[in-house]
Amino acid sequence: MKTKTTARPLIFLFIFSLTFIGCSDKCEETNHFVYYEPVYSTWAEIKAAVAVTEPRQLSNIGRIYFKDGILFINESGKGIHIIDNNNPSSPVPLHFLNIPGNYDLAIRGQTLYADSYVDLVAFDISDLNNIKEVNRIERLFNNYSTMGMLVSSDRGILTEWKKNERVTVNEADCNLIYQPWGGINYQEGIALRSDMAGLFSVKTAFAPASGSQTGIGGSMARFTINGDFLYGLDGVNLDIVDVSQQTKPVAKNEIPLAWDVETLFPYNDKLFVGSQTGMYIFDLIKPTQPALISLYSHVRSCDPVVVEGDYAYVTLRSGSTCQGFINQLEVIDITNLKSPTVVKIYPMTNPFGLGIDRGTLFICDGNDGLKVYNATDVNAISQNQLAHYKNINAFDVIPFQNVAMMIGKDGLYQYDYSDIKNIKLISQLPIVRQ
Amino acid sequence: MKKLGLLLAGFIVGGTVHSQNVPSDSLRKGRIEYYFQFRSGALIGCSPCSSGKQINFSGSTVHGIKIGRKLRVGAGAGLDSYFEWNTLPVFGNVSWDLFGKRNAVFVEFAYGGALALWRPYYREEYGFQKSNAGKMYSYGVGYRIKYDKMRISVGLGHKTQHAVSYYEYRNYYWHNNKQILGEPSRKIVKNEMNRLVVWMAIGWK
Repeated sequence: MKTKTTARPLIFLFIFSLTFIGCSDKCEETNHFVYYEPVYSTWAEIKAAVAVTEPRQLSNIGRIYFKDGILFINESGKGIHIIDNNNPSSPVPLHFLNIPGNYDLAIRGQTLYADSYVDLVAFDISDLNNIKEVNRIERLFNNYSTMGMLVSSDRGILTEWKKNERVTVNEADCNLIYQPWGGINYQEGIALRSDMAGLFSVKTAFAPASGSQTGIGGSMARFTINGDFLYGLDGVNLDIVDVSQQTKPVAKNEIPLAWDVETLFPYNDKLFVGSQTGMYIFDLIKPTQPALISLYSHVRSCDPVVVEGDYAYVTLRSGSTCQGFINQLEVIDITNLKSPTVVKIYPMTNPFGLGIDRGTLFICDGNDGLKVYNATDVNAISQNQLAHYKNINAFDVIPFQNVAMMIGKDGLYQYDYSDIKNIKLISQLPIVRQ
Repeated sequence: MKKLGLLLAGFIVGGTVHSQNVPSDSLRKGRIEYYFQFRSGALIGCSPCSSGKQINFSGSTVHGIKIGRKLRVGAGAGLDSYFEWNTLPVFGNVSWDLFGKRNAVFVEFAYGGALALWRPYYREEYGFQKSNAGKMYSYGVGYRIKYDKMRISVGLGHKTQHAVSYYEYRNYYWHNNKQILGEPSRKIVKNEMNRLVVWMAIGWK
């Protein structure tokens, strides 16, 4: 009875206290926020960094270009490796041309044109032991290197990103903290836009420019020279530069193309533009006013293009930036440029760059290696495979004068295809992985 | 071995029958008996409180043993519904009769965790990765009415359930002309759900 007497007040006290105890949710939010802060270099610093240095090992290869026995291999964002390739079985690195923010190049005569962030820089390469910067068109490109970032002109150029971390712990309204946030970063007027991803795929198109004074571009070409004009993709735009006076390039025009353009391939007086959704054909009769002839549409994917004779060869590749879901080679009849039609489709593994030389088609099929076909019969390309080099990563290729210069993740490979029934590896320059 | 099994089974069945025939008020102190109950009730609380109280379902079953006249120790599993979440809690339960012989007032405490945690309805959240249920504990008072072998109880208490949600947000930046997936930002939300519990139970012993 004593227990009952003691317990009763406690029970009532307990029930009473329940009315004061919180019956709502409490939330504690821990944010581990990672953001990338833009780091700027001044215009003066960037210009001062341009220099010819000792040759160094290949790394992070971008575009390749070949002219007069010399291979120019771009190291993305860093500059250009200059390699004497007069003897393809024994290429000799000569120099490294340090160019901050360089992703592409083209050569006319003895002048090399290269981008340096938003600038187009001209180099005199008549003497490879004395390469000199001879001119510069400042701020030619609006979307430098298609990096999708704006230039804060008062600070210079955004050259890298510095990782920052911040951890915060706070109590929050449970109903509010579930709202979406994160990812996209806006700092100092710089926007990282994920929807720009389509512009940043690896560019693959083999672009042998017309005119004897130019060299042969690799299949990543965003720059190409046709006649007296250099064409360069600048994000959604096509920049046109008059290079008739080689050391005095003059910006002539900038025309909008499409949001997803990737590659340039000049052929005769036409310009073939590979995009993620199709192949554009432009007429270059008026070089500063390219006129659209037609658009061959395909499903969304990465799309380098090469042309020979009456056919264009397009590889479609799926991937994170390319999107899409197909991997194939499309052969397109361009006899009627106003109405290109697909002739044949061949399945591939994950094709990147390609090149063609007198009916011999080279396809860099990613991790499935380099595939070589006799493409003289466009309806039976797959039946006429000449070689398949597996166990290498194949990224891009220039076939020229019986030597196929191919780059992949492991380095520069060169193949002698003077006898197409007996294609031989003749040299390799390894890439240093970073 | 077979004989031993039969003997053991007979002992258990016999013991059960015997215990059913013994009047409960004749139970001696220290005697152990099996009991169970099915409980159904309401979780009363709010999230956010500006939108008013919410009442959600709570149900469970507890099976255990009575040790003597006052102490009950058991284990249970159930289903609890909160505003954001549903949970399947498993828990240990202890109750102590404060007073009363035939009908009793008791206090109880339960502690455990949830086996599963899920949303009662789909809610799209950017970056959501996973949720884990955390610990659960409750305490309260109840009143148990005896009717032969049956027991009917009502009670009032407080329950707390923890849940942790993980979010990840991709960061991209551009370097060397490539889109690079940077280290993601992460968010961890620890949610403590507090509810007033009103329940009713029916059981055996």
